[in-house]
Amino acid sequence: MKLFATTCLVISLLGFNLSCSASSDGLQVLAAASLTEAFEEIANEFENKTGNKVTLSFAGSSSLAAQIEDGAPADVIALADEETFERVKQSGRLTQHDETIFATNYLTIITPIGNPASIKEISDLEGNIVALCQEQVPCGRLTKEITTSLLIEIQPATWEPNVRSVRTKVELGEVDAGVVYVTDVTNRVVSIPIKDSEQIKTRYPIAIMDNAKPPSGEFVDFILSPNGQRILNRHGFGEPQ
Amino acid sequence: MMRSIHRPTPFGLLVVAALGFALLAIPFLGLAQRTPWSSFAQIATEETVLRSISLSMIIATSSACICVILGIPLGLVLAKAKFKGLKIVRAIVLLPMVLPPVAGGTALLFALGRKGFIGEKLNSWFGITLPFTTAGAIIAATFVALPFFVLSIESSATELDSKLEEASLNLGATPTRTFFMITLPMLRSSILAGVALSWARALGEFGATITFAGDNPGQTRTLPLQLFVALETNPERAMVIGMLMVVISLFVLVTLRGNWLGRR
Repeated sequence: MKLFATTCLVISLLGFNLSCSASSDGLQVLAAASLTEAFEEIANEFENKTGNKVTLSFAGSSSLAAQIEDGAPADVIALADEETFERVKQSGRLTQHDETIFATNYLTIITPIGNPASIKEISDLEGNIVALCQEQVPCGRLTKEITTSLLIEIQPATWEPNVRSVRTKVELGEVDAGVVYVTDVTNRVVSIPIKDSEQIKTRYPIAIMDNAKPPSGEFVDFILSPNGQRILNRHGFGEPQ
Repeated sequence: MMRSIHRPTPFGLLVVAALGFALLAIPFLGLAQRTPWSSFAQIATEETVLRSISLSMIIATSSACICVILGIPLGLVLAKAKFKGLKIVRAIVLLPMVLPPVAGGTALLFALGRKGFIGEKLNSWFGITLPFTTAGAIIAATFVALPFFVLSIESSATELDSKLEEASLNLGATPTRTFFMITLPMLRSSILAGVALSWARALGEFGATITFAGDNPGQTRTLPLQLFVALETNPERAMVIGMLMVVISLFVLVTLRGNWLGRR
């Protein structure tokens, strides 16, 4: 009984301690799912350079916007498009700083290795088993923009909550094709370019939230610095424009 | 029936009990307080919501039916049979009750998905693909709901008096006839309880469904998935759907308690 009580107490204190430290030390950075690997590398380099700890949290941009609206702790936020970023601005938690565009991206088709459904262009997605991003996330909105301009309508087998889960469904071979960012292409999928899709780019805004911890500015500066831009570029992101 | 004598409860216990109750009850208060009651009926009857409601009903009800068909024999075997490895079988049957549904969905994907070891055969031999279809959503829901049904059957079957069954067999009835005339009627209340439990569990299924069956409006976008999408796009709709699910689940529990598990 005593042992049980002690164990409970110790473990709960550990949990309590964790929840405190999450909000007290380290920068809390919320970033769009498509930024996962690039931001992990950037955070690593930033930590080595400045000694400041960075905690990254990735999700679909609209999930992140909803988290901000619900009061989630955040020092820096980076999303995959400006439309979703409007929601962050409306939240009233972003009044002191303006956002900066730090990268761009555009879409491509991916298929499982071997391209089992012989997809050649975007109109081939009509009538095949396809995964798309839900329309409220930036990749979904961008997909919609492209299909609307080409007057085609794709009925996906599944609407996925973020671009990475689209890629997973393709990698597993559960769908014949998916539409993701060019930066999401790996050697586990085949990429088929969408004609003229470079013209329809999404721009990634980043901003420092109100009452953010001091190193936030340094972190954003690092992303905009040649070093940060080089890392983003290596992961396939385009220059801000 | 023996009446329990009234014993005073220590005050401290009451305080802790109240804390526990608060932890469970407060989230619903929060939901109820934010729910836009004035437009509740209007949102609840929007076409997207109605479509999810009917899809949820179809999936939960089909799932409960499959639970009855598969779960009665399985529950009886677990209760009556004695063989090596019974413990392992029982553990596997009950596993989905404690397993995170998203893990269950992943497992389903690797078994029954297009590239899964069974799913691949289903696809190449019969042209059947389960992911992203209502059938897939029913399988995902059944995967998590079946253990609740089996447990309900097993616990009452272990306590069944087997004298009636023996008498029936001695009088010359076949085992099949005995099963239908004697065993099933004796299990009636636990079957009904199991149906309600597994139906409610299937209705609330989210993790295994979105992992295995994806999010396909009209096919697999059930109420919980609709809630998930609404949370990011239309919070008011999310609150209304959340409240709907609370009401339905509460209704199931209350009916269960009142009619089948015995009044207290």
